[in-house]
Amino acid sequence: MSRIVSKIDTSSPSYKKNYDAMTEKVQALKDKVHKARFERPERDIERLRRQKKLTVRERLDLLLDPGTPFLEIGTLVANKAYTGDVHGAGQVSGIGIIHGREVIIHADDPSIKGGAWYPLSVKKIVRTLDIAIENHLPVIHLCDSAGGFLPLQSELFPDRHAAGRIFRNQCTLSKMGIPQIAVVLGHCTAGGAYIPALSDYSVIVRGNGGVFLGGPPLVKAATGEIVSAEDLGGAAMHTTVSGTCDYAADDEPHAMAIARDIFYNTSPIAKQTIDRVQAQAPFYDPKELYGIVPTDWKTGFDMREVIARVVDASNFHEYQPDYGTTMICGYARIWGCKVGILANNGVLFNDSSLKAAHFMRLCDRDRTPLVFLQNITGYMVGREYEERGITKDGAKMIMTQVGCTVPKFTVIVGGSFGAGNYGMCGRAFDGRFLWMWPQSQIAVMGAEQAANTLADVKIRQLERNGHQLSAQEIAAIREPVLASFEAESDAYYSTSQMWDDGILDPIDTRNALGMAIVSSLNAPFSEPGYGVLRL
Amino acid sequence: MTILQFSDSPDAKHQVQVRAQAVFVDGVCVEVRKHAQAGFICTQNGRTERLLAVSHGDTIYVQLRGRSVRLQRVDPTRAARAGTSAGGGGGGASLAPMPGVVVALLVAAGQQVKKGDALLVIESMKMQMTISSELDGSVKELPLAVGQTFQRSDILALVITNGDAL
Amino acid sequence: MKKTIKKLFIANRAEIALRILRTARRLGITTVVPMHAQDQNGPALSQADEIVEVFGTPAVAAWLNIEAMVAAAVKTGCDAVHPGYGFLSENAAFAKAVEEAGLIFVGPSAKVIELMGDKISARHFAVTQGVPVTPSADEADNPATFEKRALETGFPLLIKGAAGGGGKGMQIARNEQELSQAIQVARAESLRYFGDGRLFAERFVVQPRHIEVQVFGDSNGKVIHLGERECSIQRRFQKLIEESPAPKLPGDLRERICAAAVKLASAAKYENAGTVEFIVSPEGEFFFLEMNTRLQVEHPVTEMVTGLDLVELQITIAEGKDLPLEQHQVQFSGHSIECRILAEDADAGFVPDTGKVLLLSEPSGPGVRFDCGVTQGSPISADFDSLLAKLVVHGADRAVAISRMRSALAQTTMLGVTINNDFLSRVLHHTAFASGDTDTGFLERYKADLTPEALTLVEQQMVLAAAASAAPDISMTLIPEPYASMGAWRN
Repeated sequence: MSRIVSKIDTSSPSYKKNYDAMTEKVQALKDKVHKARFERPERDIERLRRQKKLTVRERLDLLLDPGTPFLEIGTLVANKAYTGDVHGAGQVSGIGIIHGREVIIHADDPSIKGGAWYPLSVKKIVRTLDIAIENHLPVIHLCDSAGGFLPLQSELFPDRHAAGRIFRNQCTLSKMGIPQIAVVLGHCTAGGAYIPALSDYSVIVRGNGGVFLGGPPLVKAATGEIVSAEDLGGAAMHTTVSGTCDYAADDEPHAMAIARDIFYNTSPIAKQTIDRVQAQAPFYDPKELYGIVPTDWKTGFDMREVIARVVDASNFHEYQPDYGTTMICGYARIWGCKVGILANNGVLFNDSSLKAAHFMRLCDRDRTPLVFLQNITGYMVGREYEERGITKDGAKMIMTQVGCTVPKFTVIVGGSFGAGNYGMCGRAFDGRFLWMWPQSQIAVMGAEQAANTLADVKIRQLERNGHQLSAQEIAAIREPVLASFEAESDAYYSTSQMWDDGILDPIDTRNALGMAIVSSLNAPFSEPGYGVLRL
Repeated sequence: MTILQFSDSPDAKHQVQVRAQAVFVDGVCVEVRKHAQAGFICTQNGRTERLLAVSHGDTIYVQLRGRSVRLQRVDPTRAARAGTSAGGGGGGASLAPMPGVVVALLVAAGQQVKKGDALLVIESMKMQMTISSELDGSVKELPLAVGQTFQRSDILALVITNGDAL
Repeated sequence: MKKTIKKLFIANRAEIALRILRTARRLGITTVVPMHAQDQNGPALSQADEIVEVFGTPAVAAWLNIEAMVAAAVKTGCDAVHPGYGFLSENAAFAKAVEEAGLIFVGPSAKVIELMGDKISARHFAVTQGVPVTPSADEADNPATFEKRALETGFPLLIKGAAGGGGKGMQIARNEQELSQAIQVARAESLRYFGDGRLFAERFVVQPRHIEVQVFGDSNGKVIHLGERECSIQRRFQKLIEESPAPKLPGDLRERICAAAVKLASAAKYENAGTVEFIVSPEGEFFFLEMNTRLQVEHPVTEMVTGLDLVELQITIAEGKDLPLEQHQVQFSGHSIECRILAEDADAGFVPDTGKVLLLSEPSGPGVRFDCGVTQGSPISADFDSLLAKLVVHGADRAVAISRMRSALAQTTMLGVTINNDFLSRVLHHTAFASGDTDTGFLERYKADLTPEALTLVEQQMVLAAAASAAPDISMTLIPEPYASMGAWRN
């Protein structure tokens, strides 16, 4: 490896323009994140205090090792859904450190609609447990939920990856030998009661915690029995009579201390070894990323400049530097871990697709995790390329990529459109984590292209009927399509639907990747392999 | 984190995590360097002090500039909170706050007493203390005679409320 | 009659045993110190020439056993017995037994001990010598009317055991309502400690200063004084801080008090070391309190100010020699303060504490003397006195002495048992102490000022950090890379 030579002129007008635009985007991101994390109506916080409850962030401060990082997942889920104030879908998920070991947290946020589960809340919890399964991460459940949000029950209850999947995942984790600790800080009613029941260990807080398949109102309605929540499923009963919960805590800090003590006594997971050395900071200043990447995805930039500001010592060993130049492949280290990087520098051609496939095979065989930096509009189209087999070559790239059993990580740096998303390990392709940048876009095709395509179809249709469309009428067809595509291609829309694991400040990309890569080593790599390549 | 509490304020629990060259105390990082025997140089918030600390079982003794403090390690998984109150044994049992000897008995068995009435006088290492009744009732038992010695937490007097049938 | 002391039996323990031993060693005298199975950590034990095991349950009984102590001294071939303070030091029967065994008792004669040991007879003797005493009522005069006569003496009243001393067997009655209980408790305590329940009541002077005079007498009838000591900082009639000279004591009053002490000692034909205690009223009147026929705990402050070794003087006189100096040859220089380091929680009402000295760190510095009665590892139990050490300083003047004492108290460390050094430090820092306005009501009056300030948040954090670091079973958490380098990063 050798240091990437940067060609960026930090005094150029285009650098400054990019820098200002990205700074604005990042500030907007930080504001939204802050609001989602901390802004709550006064009365909700007061209610917590009256109940002698801590906020979810306060709980995490007590649970996790102080002075250690926390990689939050899906901070802005539901930011464009429901009433717009179901921040993070009422859930906090993320990877944190306890006693020096990685854990993944699933925490209900009782200050958001009482911690009620919306459809996206359920999706987030399932995703959290999927990450736990894929990466063999111990799980800590901080349970404090009002239960399912009934008006939207059809979207959160019946489907394959809806609420039931939470409990299925818990059972799978248990069978895999991955520890789960549930801390019951509020009510776990109905389905929610299974979270502590399916966990290896459960802690319950006196006075606040309650585990029951039916709460007091339901019990009264069903059988006429009148019983208090504490008597029905409170700490004393479950830790002395039923044995459903293992430890009774006097208050929340006590509960967190017990959870930590329990975790200390679980056995550490043996880690997968990879080529790993001592880390070094990038040679170039990561802040320069702001000036390198334009906020308009249509404007190009050299991905090598991005790589140079993410990897250790800005060192990079480029593979096939002169062939398939729209695809950058090479080895680098991120926080000391050797990874194989695939990054787009233009449209994918035959040669770039083949190069990517070969490189991925090398990485998979040699147990090198893969990092995909996406900025792709798609594969090249046109007769020449079809005759040369661009579709076959794209298929080989996708087939190889899916076959890889080394962990894969994706960052959508610019645009992610169409089949390009597939080859470059989009969401559907079992990457361990996928993140967006604040200005990035994701759609089946660009908004303009879509608007033009749909307008074209309409225009031809009407012309067949003898109708000539005016410019205004054409605009009236194009504008709505443009608007909806733009809205739905937006990173915030993507993150709202949890099509990604979060929007990163570009400067945080290195740490996010570092934490994710090292966490993924908790799961042993399976044997390399791939399907049939259409040669 | 391990939980520590100051012996004189058992309701406030503090979390500590020992790391290399530092200890996190309730989330705050305090730099710590070992110094000679039992000495620790601590730096926090721009201030540096030398402290002495030594542990014995679950109790840790610390000295800062001539002032010594006692702390206890707490086991978070223990269900019952350890709470000590000098003399309070629950109900009407007066427990000895420290080892000593009975100097004078001021009441007799069967006598009616009110809360706060002096029951007996004890003495330990030249210090005398009057033990008073914790409740209104009658003196059920004075297990020790004048001149008898006792250990800490031994029952010195038992007062029962007049409704109790024991 | 002169006899050289070659081997000395020290019938005591802890700090005073070591202190006596040091002088004996300097004088080339062999030392023997008793040891009990429950008191094996005293510093004197490792430095004595010989140790002899003594027995008793509870352990203190061993040092109160006249026969055993004498037998031990005889068995080990000692010429003399030094009783120290406390235990049998003012027990006339012990002095007699020592002499009857053919040994020298380092102290006054049994007869003088008897005269001065009984508080009532001592008071009578003082009156005959024209030494002023406080109004009082003696129970022995008429037990039936004692309570009435006590009442007539006027409140506040101090009810004391006639045979008592050392602050034991004393109760204050502030008014008629408190009188009965005070009598009852004082009597019970006196019976228990001194085997003698006789009482007397004396008027308690309000805001008195406790001033005492160190006297020495030889067999030729010469009596000198070595200056006064002020011991007003007391709690429950026990001294905590002593100093010499007494601050703000007018010169002529000092002269008269010392003269009265010498007169009393002379008239009693006093031999060896003794201390005459007075109370001095705010109006400048002084009254005889009692005489202690032994070396006192606080004798070091006199030593620091006069440069004399009082134990050496005791031994000299015990050998039958004359006092080696005249009154005018006694020089007083500078100021000395002593603080008693006790095993007690001063802030919780002076509650005694037990435990073990896990870590001992002695103060040092110019003018600092630390007479320590424990070693690292010493168990501290309720069996023995709570005095663990004496911290004594000397300075050119009182301000320097106070300054040195403050530093020394901060350095004094005995972790594993609660000691009162921080409390004493607060007294030393109090403006009233610094200005020398001390009387026996000091601690009560300034109680609120003397409460400790809460630790600041930063101090608390440092204490917790040190505590965590000191506990061997609190293991270090290793945060692996990259998390250690990332610190508290959040995305």
